[in-house]
Amino acid sequence: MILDNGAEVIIGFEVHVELKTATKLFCPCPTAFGAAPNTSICPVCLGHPGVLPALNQGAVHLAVRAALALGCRINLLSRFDRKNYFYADLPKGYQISQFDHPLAERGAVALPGTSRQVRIRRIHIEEEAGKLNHEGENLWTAQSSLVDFNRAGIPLIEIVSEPDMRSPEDGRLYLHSLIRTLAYLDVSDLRMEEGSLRCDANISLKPADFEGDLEDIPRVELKNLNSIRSVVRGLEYEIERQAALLDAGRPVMRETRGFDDASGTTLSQRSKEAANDYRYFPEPDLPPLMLEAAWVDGVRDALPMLPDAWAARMAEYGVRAQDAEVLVSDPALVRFTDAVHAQGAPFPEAVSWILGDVARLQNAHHLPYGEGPLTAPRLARLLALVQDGRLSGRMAKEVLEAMYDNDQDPDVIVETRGLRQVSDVQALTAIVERVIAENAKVAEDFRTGKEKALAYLVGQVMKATRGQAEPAVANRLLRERLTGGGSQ
Amino acid sequence: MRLSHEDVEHVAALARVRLTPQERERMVEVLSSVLGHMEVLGDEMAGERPLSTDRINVLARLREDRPCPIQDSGRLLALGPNTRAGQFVVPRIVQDI
Ligand SMILES: [Zn+2]
Repeated sequence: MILDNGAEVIIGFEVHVELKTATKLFCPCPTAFGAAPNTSICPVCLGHPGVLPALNQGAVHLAVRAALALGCRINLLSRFDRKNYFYADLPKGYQISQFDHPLAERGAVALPGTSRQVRIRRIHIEEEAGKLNHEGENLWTAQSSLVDFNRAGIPLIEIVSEPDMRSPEDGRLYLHSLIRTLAYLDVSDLRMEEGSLRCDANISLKPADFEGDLEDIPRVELKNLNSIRSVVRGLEYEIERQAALLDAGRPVMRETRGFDDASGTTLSQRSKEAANDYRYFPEPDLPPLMLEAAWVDGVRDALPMLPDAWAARMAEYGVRAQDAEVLVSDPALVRFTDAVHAQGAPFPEAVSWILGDVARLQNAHHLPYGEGPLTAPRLARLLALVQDGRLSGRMAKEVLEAMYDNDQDPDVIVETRGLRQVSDVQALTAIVERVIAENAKVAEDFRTGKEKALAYLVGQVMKATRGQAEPAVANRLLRERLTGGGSQ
Repeated sequence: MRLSHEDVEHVAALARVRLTPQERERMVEVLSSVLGHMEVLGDEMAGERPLSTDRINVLARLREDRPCPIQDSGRLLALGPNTRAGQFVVPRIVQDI
C-alpha cells in the first residue's frame, strides 16, 4: 500500500498464544479457565523468594509443534532469560522469556489468495502475567486494582513476524492464516476475545525517499487489539494519523499506543522501552534447553495435514476454490469431508451436501462435524443411494433429516419408509404412456405449443408413482413420447 | 564487561533503587563481576566454550504436564499486604504526570 505522499506502509506482528497445557509453564498449578480468583496459585507462580521454576515438558512439545507447523527451524539449544520490568500483574518483577536464543526461527505464513508470504522471525516460549481488575472505570481513573494470579505462569508462545505486510488487509490475511493453521494443531483455544490469543501490531510509514534499514524508522506498537476487526481498524487509523504527521513535516514518535474500540482511534500509552531497558539476562535457575534432532523429527512427522495442503488436495479432486476455503477454515469440517470421501463418496457431491443440508442440520443440533447421528459412513451411504439412482435428491433429504431424528442407518430408514425411486425406465415408460392416454386433452395442448401442460403431466406421473419417480426422468420420457422422438 | 557510573545509575532508576555514592561505587564492581559470569554463559551458548552437562535441561528430565491439587491458596492470598474479594489489592497503577 503506497500512500498519496509516496510513503509505504510497513506492518509486522507480535502474536501471543496461550498454550493448552494442563499445568503452568514452571509450576504444576492447573490452568483451568474460569476458576475463582487466586485459587490456582502457588509460591512459584507468585514469585516467592527461594522457589525454583521447573519447565513443563508438555509446553515445550506444543511450542515445537506450533513452530514446525509454521515452517520454523527449531534451535536444538535454546535458553531462558529474565525480562525485567515493573507492573502490578508481574509477581517476580521479571518475566521468564527467551531473548537471544529462542526456541525457533525463520518460518513463514502464506497469505491466502496471494502468492506472497510473511516471514516469521522467531518463536519463543514465555510465561503469562496475572490479570488486573481495575477498581474504577478503567486503568486511568482507578484508584486501586485487584490482581488475580490464576493466569500468571500459563505458557505462551510469542510469534514475531518480519515487517512483511504492506496494508491492513495483509494483516488480516496473515492473522486469518496463522490462526487457521494453529487451529489444526489443537495447541491453544485461540480466542482473541478471551485473551488466549493476543496481537500487537508494529506499524510505520516508509517515506518515498527513505533509504536504509527499516528498523531505523520510528514505529508505533499498537496494543489492545481484541479482534481481527480491531486490528484492521487500528491499523487504518494509525496510517492516517502517521501520514498526517509526515505531511505536516512532524516526526512520528516511537511509542506504544492503545486502540480504543469505541472511538476507533489510538491513544499514546507510554514511550516504548528499548530492549536494553528490560535488562535481559540468562535465567540462572533454568539450564539451557537441549532438544534431540530425532525427537523434533518425530514431532514433525506427527503433525496433522495443514490447511494449505488440504486446500491443494480439495482442488485436485475438483472442489471449487471458494468451497475449499470454507472447508479448510474448520479442521473438524475438512476432516469430516475427507472421511466421507474415504468411504467412497466423490468429493464435489460430498462437499455440496456437507456445505448445504448437513451444515444446516449440524448447526441446528449444535453438533461439531463428525459428532452426533450423522457419521461419515452414513452420509457416504446416503450419497451412494443417490448416486445409484435409488433415491431422488428430495428423498435423500428426507432420509438425512430422519437420521438426526431416529439415529438410524440410511438403509433402515429407506426400508421402513418404503422409499424407492422409480427410475427404472421400462416401469416408468408404462406409467408415462398411461398418463398420456388418460390426459389426451392436456397432451394435445402440449403438442400444440403449451409448454406449461408438461408440468401437469409430470405431476400426474409423480402422483401415479406416489412421488417415487425422478422428476427429471419423468420429464424426459414424457417429452420423448409427446414429440415422437427418441422412443426406444 | 565493565560498567560505568552512568550505567549503574540508569539500572538503579529502572529498578526503583536509590543509591548512596558509596553504594554506587560498590555496585560498579559487583555488577561488573555478575556480568562477567554472564559472558561465560554466553560463550557456552555460542559454542565458544564446551557446555558443562550439568547445566543442560533435556526433555526427558523436564516436569511432566500433570497438575497437582492446589493447597493453601487462601493462606498464600492472606500473605498479601492487602486483599479484597479473593484478590490482591495494588495501589493506583498509572502515575499522574
Ligand atoms: Zn503455581
